[in-house]
Amino acid sequence: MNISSNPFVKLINKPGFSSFAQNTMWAVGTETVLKAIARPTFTLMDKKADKDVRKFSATKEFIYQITCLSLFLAILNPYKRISFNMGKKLFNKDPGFMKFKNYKAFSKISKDEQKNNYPLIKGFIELNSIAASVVSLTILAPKVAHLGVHHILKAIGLEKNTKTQKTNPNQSSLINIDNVFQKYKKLKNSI
Amino acid sequence: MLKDKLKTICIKMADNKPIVAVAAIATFKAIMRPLYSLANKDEPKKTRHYAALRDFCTEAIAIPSYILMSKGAEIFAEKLTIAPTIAENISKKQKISNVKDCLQFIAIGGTATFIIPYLCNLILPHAMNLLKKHQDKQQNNTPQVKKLDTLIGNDLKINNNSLDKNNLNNPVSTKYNLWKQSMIPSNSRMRIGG
Repeated sequence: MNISSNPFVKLINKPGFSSFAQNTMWAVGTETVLKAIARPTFTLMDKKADKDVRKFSATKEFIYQITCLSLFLAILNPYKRISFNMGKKLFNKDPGFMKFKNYKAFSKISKDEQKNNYPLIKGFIELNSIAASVVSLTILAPKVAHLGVHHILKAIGLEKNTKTQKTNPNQSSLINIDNVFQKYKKLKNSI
Repeated sequence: MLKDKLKTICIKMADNKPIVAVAAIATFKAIMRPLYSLANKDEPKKTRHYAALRDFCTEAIAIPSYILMSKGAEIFAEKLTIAPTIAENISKKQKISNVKDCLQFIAIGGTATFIIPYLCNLILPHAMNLLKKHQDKQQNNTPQVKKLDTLIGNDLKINNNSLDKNNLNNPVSTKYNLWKQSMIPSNSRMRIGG
């Protein structure tokens, strides 16, 4: 069997696909999109849990992943420009950094040329992209999601509008003593 | 010296593997998400612990899954590589490396879509049950609950039981009144007799 005729083999041997796979933005972005689809689906398929709980968890997870993706995409591209300028100041004597005026000029050349001829610039940008991904997905996204997810869930009716009531410490406990006595009487009469 | 080390790291990162970013994110998520869950004062303590453990377990399942699946996919790289053409202008070694990256990317996608949710559905219920048992055991061993068990146990043996709660001669009502005054937290949600 000739493997080169297989469409999957053709795909993974394409130079464009390997550039796509090596790019942090595409790798993390694709992973987040797949998680946003798969995790809620698996949650809804879990028959052991209650139906309402499943819907709530699935919706919450979906909103969280979409928030992560939006924040990640919003931060990453501007950050690449910032990181190029940072690298230019840090490695000011590097001929690669001196050759390109800004990130826009650097991004115009092909990915293979970036990797082979200017590894310092490419590597510095990738390292900063990973750092930006980590910060946006692990620190910022949970905060933003926490602020917005409950409002969205209440708006679509999956979460009840309950306000936490502060209990008066002078009040008696939640245990209804009269109820306890009635139940004790029933228990005594049954013996 | 630090600058030189950073330069070396950056040059290595030029040949970026998809697994590096994904594993770094998963590692930090394993640390930060449980911390956020524990720091959320809106939820009661039990729920916070539950959520933190669930978040940690999810990421703890994710990290080795990503690494194992991406390493596993790389095994097939050499077999699936087509020899580079003249137009591509790269060596076979470079081509194999590119194909490895593609397979890693596909493996990460598949792991995130199918394997991690499946493993979480399989493993997390058992982990959560263990936590729940531990929490229930702790709650059943609190002084208030033990006192209630003792009271009910002892009082069932008493023959003369008038249920007048104001009758201080009645040992049942005295004990219950004392207990009412005891330090039971108001949000304990403890129900007696259903």
